Amino acid sequence: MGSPSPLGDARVRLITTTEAEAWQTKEVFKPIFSWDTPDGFPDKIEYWAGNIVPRWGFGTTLSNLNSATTIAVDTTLYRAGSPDAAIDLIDQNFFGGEMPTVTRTGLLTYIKAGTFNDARVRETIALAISANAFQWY
Amino acid sequence: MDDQHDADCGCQEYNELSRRQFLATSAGVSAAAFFPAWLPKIVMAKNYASTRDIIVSVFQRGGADGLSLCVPFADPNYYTSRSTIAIPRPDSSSTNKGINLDGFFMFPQAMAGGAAGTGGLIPAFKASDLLIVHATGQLNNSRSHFDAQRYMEVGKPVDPSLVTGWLGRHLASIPPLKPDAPLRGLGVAAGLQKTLVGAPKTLPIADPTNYSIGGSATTQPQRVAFLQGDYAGADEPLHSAALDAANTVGLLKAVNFAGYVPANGAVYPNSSFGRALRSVAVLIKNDVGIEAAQVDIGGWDTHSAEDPIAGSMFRTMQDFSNSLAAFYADVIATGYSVTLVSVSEFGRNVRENGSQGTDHGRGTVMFAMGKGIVGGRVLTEDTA
Repeated sequence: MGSPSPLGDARVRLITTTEAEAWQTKEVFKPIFSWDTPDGFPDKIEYWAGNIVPRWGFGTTLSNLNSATTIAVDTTLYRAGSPDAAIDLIDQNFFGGEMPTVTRTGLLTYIKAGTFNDARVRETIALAISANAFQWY
Repeated sequence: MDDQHDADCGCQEYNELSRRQFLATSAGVSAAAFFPAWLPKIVMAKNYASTRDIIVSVFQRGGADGLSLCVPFADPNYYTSRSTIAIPRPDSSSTNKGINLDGFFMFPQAMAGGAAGTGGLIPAFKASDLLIVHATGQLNNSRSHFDAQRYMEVGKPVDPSLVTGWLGRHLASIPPLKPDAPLRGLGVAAGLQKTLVGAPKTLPIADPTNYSIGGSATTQPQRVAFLQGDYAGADEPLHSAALDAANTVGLLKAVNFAGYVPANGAVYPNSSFGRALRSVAVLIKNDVGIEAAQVDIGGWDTHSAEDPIAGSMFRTMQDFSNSLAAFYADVIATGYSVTLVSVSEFGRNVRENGSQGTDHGRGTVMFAMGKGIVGGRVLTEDTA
């Protein structure tokens, strides 16, 4: 594979388990062999920027995976402490400790704006992996 | 109606494209540079400061057989070249006979709403709102779907350096009809069709009736607000894309797609093409600022068992015709300033092959529909 994108694409395809997820995967990632420069994956950010809502939606789908037989996202660890501690964990686990201030501030505002429960944490994780710093850099 | 016809008959290259949902970098439409002189009149001739027409561009992907879509029944070569797939003359006694348009060309019944010949595209043709342009295409010898679609979409043959689409450049060259519109162009597809590449405030939306980031509807506005704020400092074009996308989520959420009642009793087929045109109609009528839309219909790569009377080609033409007919009755006939153009990347050979199909050819037929069209005619080399 010529770039990280096909590898990531293939890995996500492996974990998709339902038709809905498969469709969403197809929207988020470019289908292989679509034959444009340089290797079938557009090297123009304009293409990917136009696909931003499906990418955000994919974050929601991933964070809500809760299958008994395939993949489940367990938020217990993130709910063990305070909302601030949850954001710290997201920073460490998803951003390698380099979460931008604007993202941290926004996530903190969001997670504290509602009841600190499983649904809120899943939504916060979805937002984190949809954030500019996570998706594009 | 299902979309099985999309998978019928295609050659290997086309099936590869179809299976992979040939997205943004794929194929497309016309070009004033090498199309007849009528094209600029319907696409770009209006005063840009006025209430110019909304452009709906349809791409018939796969290489549509123009000689079945609009049949030259008065040309004896048609019948001698197509011994098994020809459509009977309108003056024949066959129950499958075509519907006479002008004494030389006819519609197959699939394009005319059936044997009575009063439905499909006939009303638009009789109202002089539908122009049929025969023997059109590009001056390019390639028979590759990929190449031909690409060059049609960018509007210039054999130039791989041109990456923007003809409709994208059109939108980029004119001010918006509504200055604050978040969505000027819409590609009804999972990825933006090449036709629209380069257009400002233009998004690919596979299903406008369900454009969201998922999850709880209650918290969606707050989550979208977070994303807008988070992308506020992003570089272009991400910043604008995020802002437009977020605004479009809100815009489409406010549009009542489910409760929409088409005008004049129009019924859109429950096919991907029919649903796409219905969504475009809803957005036009809701005056959200849409100025251009690209909609695709596949199933035209008829190498085998073409059967324009009852088989694959019949079903594809019927879906195409009934969808356009609904759009005409619902939008154009009610006075909306919309021009629809429909093209394919190339046509098929005149002579049928040994599999009762037709192989890749050159020219095909184009359609233009709207109140600004001087229609009710079939243009050819002699009449253009």
